[in-house]
Amino acid sequence: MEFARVENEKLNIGPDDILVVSHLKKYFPIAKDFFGRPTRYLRAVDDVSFKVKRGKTIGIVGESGCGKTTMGRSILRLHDITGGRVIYDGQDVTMLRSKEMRNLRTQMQIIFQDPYSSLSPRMPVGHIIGEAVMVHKLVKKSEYRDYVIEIMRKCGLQPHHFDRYPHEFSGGQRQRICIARALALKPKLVICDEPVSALDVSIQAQVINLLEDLQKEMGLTYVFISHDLSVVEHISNEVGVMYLGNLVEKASRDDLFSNPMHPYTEALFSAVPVPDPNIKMNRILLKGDIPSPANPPKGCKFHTRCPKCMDVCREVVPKLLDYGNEHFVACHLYPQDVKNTLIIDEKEAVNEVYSDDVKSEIIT
Amino acid sequence: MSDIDKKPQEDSMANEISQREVVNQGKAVQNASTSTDVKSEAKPNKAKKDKSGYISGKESRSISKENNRITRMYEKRKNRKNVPESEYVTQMKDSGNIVEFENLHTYFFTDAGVVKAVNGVSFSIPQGSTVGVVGESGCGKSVTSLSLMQLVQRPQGQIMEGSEIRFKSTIYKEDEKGSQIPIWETDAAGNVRQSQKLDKKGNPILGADGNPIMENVQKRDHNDIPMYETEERVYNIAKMPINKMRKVRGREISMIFQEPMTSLNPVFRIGHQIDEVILLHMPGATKKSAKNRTYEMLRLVGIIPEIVYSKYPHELSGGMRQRVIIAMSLACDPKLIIADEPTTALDVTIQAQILELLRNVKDKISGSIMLITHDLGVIAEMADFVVVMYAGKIIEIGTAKEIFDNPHHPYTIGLQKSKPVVNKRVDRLYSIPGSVPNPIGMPDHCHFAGRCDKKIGACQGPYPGYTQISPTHKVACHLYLNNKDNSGNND
Repeated sequence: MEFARVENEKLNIGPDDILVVSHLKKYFPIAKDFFGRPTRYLRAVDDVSFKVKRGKTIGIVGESGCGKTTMGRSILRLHDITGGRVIYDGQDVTMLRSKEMRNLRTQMQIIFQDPYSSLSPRMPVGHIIGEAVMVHKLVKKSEYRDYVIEIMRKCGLQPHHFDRYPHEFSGGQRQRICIARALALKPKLVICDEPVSALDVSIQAQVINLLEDLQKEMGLTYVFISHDLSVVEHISNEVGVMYLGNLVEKASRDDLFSNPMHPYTEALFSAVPVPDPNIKMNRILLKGDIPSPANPPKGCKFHTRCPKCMDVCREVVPKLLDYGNEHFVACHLYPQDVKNTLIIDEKEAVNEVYSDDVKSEIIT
Repeated sequence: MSDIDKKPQEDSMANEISQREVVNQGKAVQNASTSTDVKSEAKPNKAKKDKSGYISGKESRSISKENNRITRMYEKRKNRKNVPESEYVTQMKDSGNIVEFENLHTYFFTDAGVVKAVNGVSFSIPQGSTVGVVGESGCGKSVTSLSLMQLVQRPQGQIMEGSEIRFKSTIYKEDEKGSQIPIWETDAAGNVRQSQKLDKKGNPILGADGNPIMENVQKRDHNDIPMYETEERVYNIAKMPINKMRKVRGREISMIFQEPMTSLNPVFRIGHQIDEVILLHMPGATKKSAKNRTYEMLRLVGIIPEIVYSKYPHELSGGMRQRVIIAMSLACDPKLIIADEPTTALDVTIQAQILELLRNVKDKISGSIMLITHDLGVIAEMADFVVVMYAGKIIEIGTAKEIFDNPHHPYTIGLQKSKPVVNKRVDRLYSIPGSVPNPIGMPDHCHFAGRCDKKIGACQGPYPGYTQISPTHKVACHLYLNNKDNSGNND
């Protein structure tokens, strides 16, 4: 554990930081050579760093294909990551052995996007919720049923739902089951991967309120992944904006929504339709589509669609810099002399942890 | 149901169904109560299971037997040959409208009972405007649009007797032989221009006397597609035979579906698929002129046609595919475009592009759009008129301004409050309790009563009629039935 401690000092983790993600990378091999060695990679998540404080919510927004979901799954080690570090409560998740990881899993849970495909159709709801409780032996067998029913009640399900099957429930109700399943283990960190996208508006509000209530009651920390800006604004304390595997902007909610700095964030905000016919939005229309992450553009990845593109953007990758008040932006538009507090320390970058097969590719 | 019963119909179909309703009523009520309603869940476990909406084999058989009888009757009527035109040609009530729905009932005869997906819907789409239909999933908004296209899944889905969908159609004029009448090109003096008749190689054909044969020159548009004379006729789509309907679909009413991947054929090139529409619906179009028109349409939606024309759908991104679909739907200058959740599967930045495109395109072709979505933001941005649907009925209808600034129905109000808005912060979202009731065997009282927070005693009574708030704004709610004087005020 000596090793881990040294690493922690380097990242300067505060006592409140429950989750620290540092230079997280996840590359998927998409082409192999004659010997089966990967030759090309799809860079789903390419260098993402952030910290989350205990009991707070960080919202991650971005278009489809920008790597939000991959990032969420990598944090839970549902994917083996290519590079970087994920530190949960002082422990480096990526270094743990599978047995240690299994113990840690009770503390980190995930709620998936689609409540229709993420519940086993052959299991009654009570067992879906309680299966992990049984596996991890959190409660005695005699108390098992009461425990599960208590969790169900908290999530707005009735005791008699215990023996029913998922197909008997509506979408909102199923999402409640998913939430109950995640919370049955009394986790501290919950990754919410688009939990309300598949739901109707009126049901969405119910689920969001439920998530908020549970956070207050159980002191949960959320990583809330969504493409819906209005939902993220409502629920988050901090918001990160992702584009093609990179974090392009990160700030506190109030800061980000009142003063978006990155051109992509501006465009994203202006694209959200407002339910008020009297407001005519000054819309920034982005041209074209999101490029393929298998073949990302050189320089700033956003330069192909950026309305404020400069020459330097085509060549140099901008760094994520702090422009005061913990407002991080990766864009060449902003003055260079604010570079005083770099999130990327040059010395640290040398020590980045890579798995072996990718290392050679990156050096070459 | 009551709507149908009031109307004396030529057959007793509606009455029969209502009788059957009564028989199934007991079951239906239980059915509704089990449908995951958070509130009504205090009953003991065991008793619930037995009566919990599962239908015994015997009942199920009797239901399907009955369904078969009804659907077969409708199918028989539909499959008649040579239906006289007088049956489905009608008159518009207001000539400014392009479509008028009146008392539309579309039912699905399922093995669990009759699903009244659309239950007495009346509204109209004025020419050149955008009408937004908004509601949660399962409220019947898509079935309304499918009824207009006569694309409801038959035989179990049927547009019931007494429903009217009047559509102002522009058809090609036909002479006695049933062929279209060409428009001839005229010179300045008004005389029909003539030219030499040519054979396939381009040489003039000579007549018996040695002089070249002259023929009238048909007027062609800039894509070299010949033009024919047209006339207006109003059809009742609910009763139209299938072969006539095929001439309306795609040519005068076209549809943009939610999933751009599933609505394009993966084995044909983009160009081929758009050409097909033009070749099918435009008489006299050749492959070359169809290609010209396809190029024009692709350019209209912001695609470089030279590249995309020979690509397959899988080579395009979601936004591009949706553009292709829009190009295809515009190919025959439709009078009405039905956009069924056109942007739900797309990202916000792409959604903004597509909405912008739809707005521009509407002005260019001077058509109307029926926009179906569950996103209030999209509706506010696009629609002139808004129709709010709940459980198969229209609960509120009005101009976009009226619906958003001065909503009356508790459901409309709740829907707007429950949607978080960027830069408008609330501590806690308003949420409508419960969920949409089971569509089988709906009770006759207001369908929203179970979830409503402004419920009054009258809500258990019969379904409320419409209260006129302003000439364009009406609402179906007991709250406004009696106090018409102060109903103009905001609550």
